[in-house]
Amino acid sequence: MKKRKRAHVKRINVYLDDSVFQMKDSAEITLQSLLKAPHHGNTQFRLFYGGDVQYGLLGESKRGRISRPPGSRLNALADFFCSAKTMERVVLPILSDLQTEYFDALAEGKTAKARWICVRGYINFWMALSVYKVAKRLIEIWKISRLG
Amino acid sequence: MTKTSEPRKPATEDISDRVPNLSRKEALVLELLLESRSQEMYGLEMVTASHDRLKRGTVYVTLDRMEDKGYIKSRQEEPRPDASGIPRRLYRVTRYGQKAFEIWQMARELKRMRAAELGGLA
Repeated sequence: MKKRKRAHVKRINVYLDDSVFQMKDSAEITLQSLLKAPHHGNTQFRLFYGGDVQYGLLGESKRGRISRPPGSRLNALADFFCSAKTMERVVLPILSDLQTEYFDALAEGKTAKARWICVRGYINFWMALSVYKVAKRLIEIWKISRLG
Repeated sequence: MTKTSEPRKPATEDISDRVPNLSRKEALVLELLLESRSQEMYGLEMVTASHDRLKRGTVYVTLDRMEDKGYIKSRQEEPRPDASGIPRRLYRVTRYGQKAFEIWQMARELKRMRAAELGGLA
C-alpha cells in the first residue's frame, strides 16, 4: 500500500495592531501579500488581533478560521459584572497574562501547550474572582463586627 | 470607684502592634520587587521568579490588596506597536512599602532574637 506523504505545514502567527480600523486595512494588505508569497502552498496563516475585537485567519487550505484570542469572552462577561477597579487590577492582568503566554506558546509552535495555557488561564480567572469576592465579603463582615 | 485594670500585654505584642503587618505573600512580593533590577515587574514575572510560591490565580488579588494598603503602585504598560493583546500591568514598590518591609524584617529579627534569648534563659 502506498503511504500518503503528508505535506509539511508551516505555521506562521502574525500579530497586528490594536486599532479596529487599522486592523481591517492591514489585515487585507497582509493577507494579500501573504497569499501572494511563493511559499504559501504549505503555509497556514493565523492572524491575531490585539484589543477587544479580534479575527483570526485563513490558510491556503481554507481550514483557517476567524477566531478570537483566549479570554475575550471572559473579558466581556467580567466587564458586565465587575467594577472598573476589579477590571483594571484583577481581571485584565489575568487575561493579559493568559494571552501573552498563549501567543508565546503558539509562536513557538507548541499548540498543545497553548491549549493547556488556555485551560489554566480560565481556571485562574475564576479562582481569582472567587477569592477576590470572598475576601471582600469577609473584610466587610469583619468591619461590621468591629462596629457592633 | 475602682478602676478595672486591663491585663497587660506582653512586650512582644506591643512591638508587633506598631509594626506593619505583612503576610508571607506580601513580604515575598515586596522582596521580589526590591530585588528586581528595574524595580518594576509584571504579575507573571513575579510568579515565575517566586518559584511557584505565588500562584497565578491569587497573585493579582494580593497585589490589589497591597496597592490599597499603599505598599505598591501599578501602571499600565505603554502599548508597543509590535505587541498584541491586552497591555500588561507593571508594579513597583512605594517608599512606604520599602520602609514597611525594612521595619517588618527588623521586627522579625528582633522577635527571633528575643525568642532565642528567652529560650536560652529558660
